[in-house]
Amino acid sequence: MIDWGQSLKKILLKIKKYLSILLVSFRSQTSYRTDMIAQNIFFALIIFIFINLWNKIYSTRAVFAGYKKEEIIWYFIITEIITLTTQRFFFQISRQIKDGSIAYVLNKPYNYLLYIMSENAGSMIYKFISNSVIGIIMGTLFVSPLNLHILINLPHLLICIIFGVMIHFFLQTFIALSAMFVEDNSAFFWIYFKCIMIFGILIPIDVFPEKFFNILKYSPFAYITYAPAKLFLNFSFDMFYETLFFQVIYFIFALIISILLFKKGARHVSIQGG
Amino acid sequence: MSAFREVKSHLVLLRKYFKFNLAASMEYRTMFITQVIGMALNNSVFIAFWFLIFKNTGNIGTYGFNDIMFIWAVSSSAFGIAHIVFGNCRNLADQIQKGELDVFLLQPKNPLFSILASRTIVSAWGDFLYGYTIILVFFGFSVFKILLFSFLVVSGGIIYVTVFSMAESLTFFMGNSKSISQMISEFLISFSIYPESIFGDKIRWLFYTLIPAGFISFVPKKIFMNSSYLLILLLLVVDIFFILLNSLVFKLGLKRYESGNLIGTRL
Repeated sequence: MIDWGQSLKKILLKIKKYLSILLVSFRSQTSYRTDMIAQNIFFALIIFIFINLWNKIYSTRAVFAGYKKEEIIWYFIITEIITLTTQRFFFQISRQIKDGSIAYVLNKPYNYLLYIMSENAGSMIYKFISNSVIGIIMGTLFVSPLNLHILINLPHLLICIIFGVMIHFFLQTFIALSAMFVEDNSAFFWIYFKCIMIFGILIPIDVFPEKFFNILKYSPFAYITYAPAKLFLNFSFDMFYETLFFQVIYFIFALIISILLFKKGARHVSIQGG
Repeated sequence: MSAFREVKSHLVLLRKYFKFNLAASMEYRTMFITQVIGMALNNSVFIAFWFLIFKNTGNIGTYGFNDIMFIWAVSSSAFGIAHIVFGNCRNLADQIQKGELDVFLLQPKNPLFSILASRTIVSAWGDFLYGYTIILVFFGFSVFKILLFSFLVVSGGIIYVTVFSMAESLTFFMGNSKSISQMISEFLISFSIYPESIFGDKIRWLFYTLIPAGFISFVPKKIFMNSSYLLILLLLVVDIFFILLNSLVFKLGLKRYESGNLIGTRL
């Protein structure tokens, strides 16, 4: 007989454990105020540069590849919020593996992948909130006020944004875990990150030639930034369900490959003493 | 005459640092090659971005596709050479904070020079070579062009190194300037790779003063694309000014330096 009460208690205890890690990480993130402000200023700088760039481009035309100025700038703000939420943690995991400090985590009574997820979730929540506030203020001041339909569909949009962040997070984890096998994995990350940039962040992928777009729209890159941002611009339930369907598939895919790589890699880890 | 001898002896030292750092990087050959190729590929993604923009728009203000390619080439190679030769320029704050400068202060050469040259960044080779590849692909080969471009790269490299180093030296005065230094770096890099003409007149003055991105890419663009060779003199003056200013900031900061009593050796 399965004791459901006991199982539920165990699950709740586990959730409590990872939630505590998340809270500690959130608090430590807010303790380093200058770092926090520097990250937010960087976000504001990028948005500022692109607002200027698009203003200049639209000074001689009303539409660019089917997009109005307000649409393309809001699109960029949303894609930047998603990607800068999980920006630098690849280097943190890779470093932990390379310098052996992963040993301090591996011998603790928690799952490593859940640990890094909870540890980074704290900083991700902070970055998401602060960058969203800055992005919305800058967008409203320099481009156009937020469309009211956004507020009505906010829960749906948030679900797609969170899934986009999670796919990005686990694909980064997968690349970071490759440090268990190769001498230096930073080049993989640079290439991955630039694929994300060109296939969704900087410019919507429907700007690409049609044949290329038809391939790209089924790639994981499209469901990290392009699809949620597009939904933000033009919400429909058909599009929402289609986006969510592909996001769930890519999320499970990214999660499984990360778990498999971790299991295989954990056997390879050799730690220097000291 | 003694100033000339001083410069010469520092150049000899720089050559030795360069050879030593290069040999150390080549020790991990696979890592060297993957980092160099990875960084060059990383940068080349922006060619696709700008190609798509120009395909749909035509010119942006006074900038055409080749202008953008040039500012990318010169800022990328300048950033590359800065980090190949003076790879420690963005690590100075950490060393000041940990009190790790003692070992350099005991050496007979200029300590700032030795600190900056004591490290190299492998991926910077990717940035450096990427710029030259852009020039060869989009502007064709000519000895004059390559020499002129190389001069502009060295000049831009000096600006990068001195600004990064000054930002890091603020640690002497503030305790920890890492965040500010990172911010200044991001501003300098970001402003040097986008067309000057997209920014309004109200902020353009910044590119020639506090964030001197103009001297890294916009003035070099005028020299290379519009044959405004007189501006070379301006770049020389600006480079010397930034070298002197950087030395002054470091010298003033050094008076406030407190050693960490760390025993270290440099072989």
